[in-house]
Amino acid sequence: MAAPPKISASKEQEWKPFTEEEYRSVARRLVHFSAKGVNSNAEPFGIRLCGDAALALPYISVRCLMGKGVGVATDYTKNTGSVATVVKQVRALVSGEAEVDFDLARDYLAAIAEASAGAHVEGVEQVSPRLRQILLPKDDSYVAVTPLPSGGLSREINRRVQSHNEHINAARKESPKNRQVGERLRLGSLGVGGAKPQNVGSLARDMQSVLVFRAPAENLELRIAYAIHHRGIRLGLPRRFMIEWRDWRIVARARHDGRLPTDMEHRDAERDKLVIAAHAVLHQGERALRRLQEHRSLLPGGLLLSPKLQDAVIRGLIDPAERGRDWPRHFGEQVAHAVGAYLFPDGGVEPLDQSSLHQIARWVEELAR
Amino acid sequence: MNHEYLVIPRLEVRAANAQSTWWLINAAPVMAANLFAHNLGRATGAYPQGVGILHHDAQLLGEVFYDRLKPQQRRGAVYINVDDYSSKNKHALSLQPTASCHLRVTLVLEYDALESAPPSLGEVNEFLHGARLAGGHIVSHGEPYVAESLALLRRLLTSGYWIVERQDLLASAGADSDPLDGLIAACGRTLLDVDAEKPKSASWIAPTTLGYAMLSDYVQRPGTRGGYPHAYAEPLVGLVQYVPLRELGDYPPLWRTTWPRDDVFLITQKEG
Repeated sequence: MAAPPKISASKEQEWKPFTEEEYRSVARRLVHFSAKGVNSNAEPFGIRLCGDAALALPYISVRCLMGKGVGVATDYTKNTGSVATVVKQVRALVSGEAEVDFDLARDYLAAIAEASAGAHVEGVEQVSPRLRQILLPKDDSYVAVTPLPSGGLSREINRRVQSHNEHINAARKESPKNRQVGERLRLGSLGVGGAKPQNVGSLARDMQSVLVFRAPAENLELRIAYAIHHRGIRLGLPRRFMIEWRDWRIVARARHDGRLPTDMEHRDAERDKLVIAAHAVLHQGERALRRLQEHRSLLPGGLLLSPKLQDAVIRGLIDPAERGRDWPRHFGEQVAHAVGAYLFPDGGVEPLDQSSLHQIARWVEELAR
Repeated sequence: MNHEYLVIPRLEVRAANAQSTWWLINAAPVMAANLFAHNLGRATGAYPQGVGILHHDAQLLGEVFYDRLKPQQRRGAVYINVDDYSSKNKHALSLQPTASCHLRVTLVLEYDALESAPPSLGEVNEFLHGARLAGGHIVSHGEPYVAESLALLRRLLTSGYWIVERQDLLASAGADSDPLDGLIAACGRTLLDVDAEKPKSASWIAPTTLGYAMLSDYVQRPGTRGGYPHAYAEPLVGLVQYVPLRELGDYPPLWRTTWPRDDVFLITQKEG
């Protein structure tokens, strides 16, 4: 028969008795707010509020909760000697969980209550350089303000948020299809206290859990798609091609006594240059179409282009399905017009006569068919 | 009253502080934006009377494991003395817990044209050159401009979410509840009764620091900034909502600073 399994002695929390004076001494120095929650290397400093600090304002803070009759737990400012154990016992006594003789507990509680009544400031006068100071404008000057954290408030928040989240989880399990159940609150973790949170305070672990709230994000691609849907695109001739075309014309004119020849060689060369530019414009339309198609399901009415966009040339440029039989001609005319009116970076334009414009329009129309 | 509006469009802020207070991470630096505007006033001599925050985009910096955000840590302890070194690595300074975000916001600053006209755009640009918002670097921004009327302002602002005060929601957990219950109910969408006059949707609600309550008297203490009177304080956290620009009829919603009591500093959108 095998030997019975060894049961290791469990770490029973033995009640190490402290004197009433020790409870008093620790309780007197318990605080609501502690500097070590900001930076564990700050000199110990803390503040305990008393009842008249209650604020009747609708905000979440220790003073405002006091205004609603809700108290938060206090904590030590510095973990020395047996402070942590004493505080643990004080909490156990207050919550009624201490395994101590009833009369003794009552006496201890009375001593603790007396010692921790009233406001108290623990620590030195000088503001630690490890703490933050915010300058707030007041009465034409400023006051320097150092916010301090409260582990007790963290504990209270965590307790209620956990309860809420558990409630939501349970309700979701019960009726998974019900969308009115509510939402869980999101949490995050910060390493307050590092490897030894108890040196910040017995409530430091509560300060490690934080609430997290996100903000709306901007989807630039979607906004561009909406813009194209409502307003179309500009018919934009690419600068590089326009400059190349003009430079070619300038050179050709210079070679032929200031007149641009109209022989086939020159006409073909010019057509090639302008057709490249027209291609680029058609390509802009294709890109716009792709953007719209990517977000089609989010566009109003599921339509690629808004009915309010009246410009037939632009509509056809973007969406080939909108091109009627006359579209290539109208498109050619608009491109030709744009070429003639194109404003170069030096402020100049390349003047074109009517027959040149017609010619360009026909070239572009051919391309677009 | 003739109001003019200085608009600083699309401030791109990198690594702004996202820790609104020790228990709260968000991307709604309402306090910082107001004090930023005050700082602009100091630099240019023209103090705005109200600040509107038009939010565009935010990105909390961190990773999510098992549904918990672990913020990217980027902050070494400031070196004061040998105590600031890590207990595990004596060659490195310890880390201070922090949370950061990238932000894109437009700020709208209101000026009373008669009392204090907006500063010149040159001065504004110069201020922005080295300025920080919520501790984050401003890496770029649109060209600031002045809208000389509300009508003009409305035409010029085209997109974004106004950050709107929603203190009314704190009361929506019931008559016997306290503001913390209200926060949980509003953000957890278990509201008992949503005010029908405000935007119907209860989405994009977030708590954020809207003020400070002092914990001690104002005293000249050694080691204070600028030698100003100093007090310890706790943050006052209230509720805000991101409301799409086009959904808010009555805008811009402007934040103003106020001292309702000698020991309470608030930022609020309430008039009077």
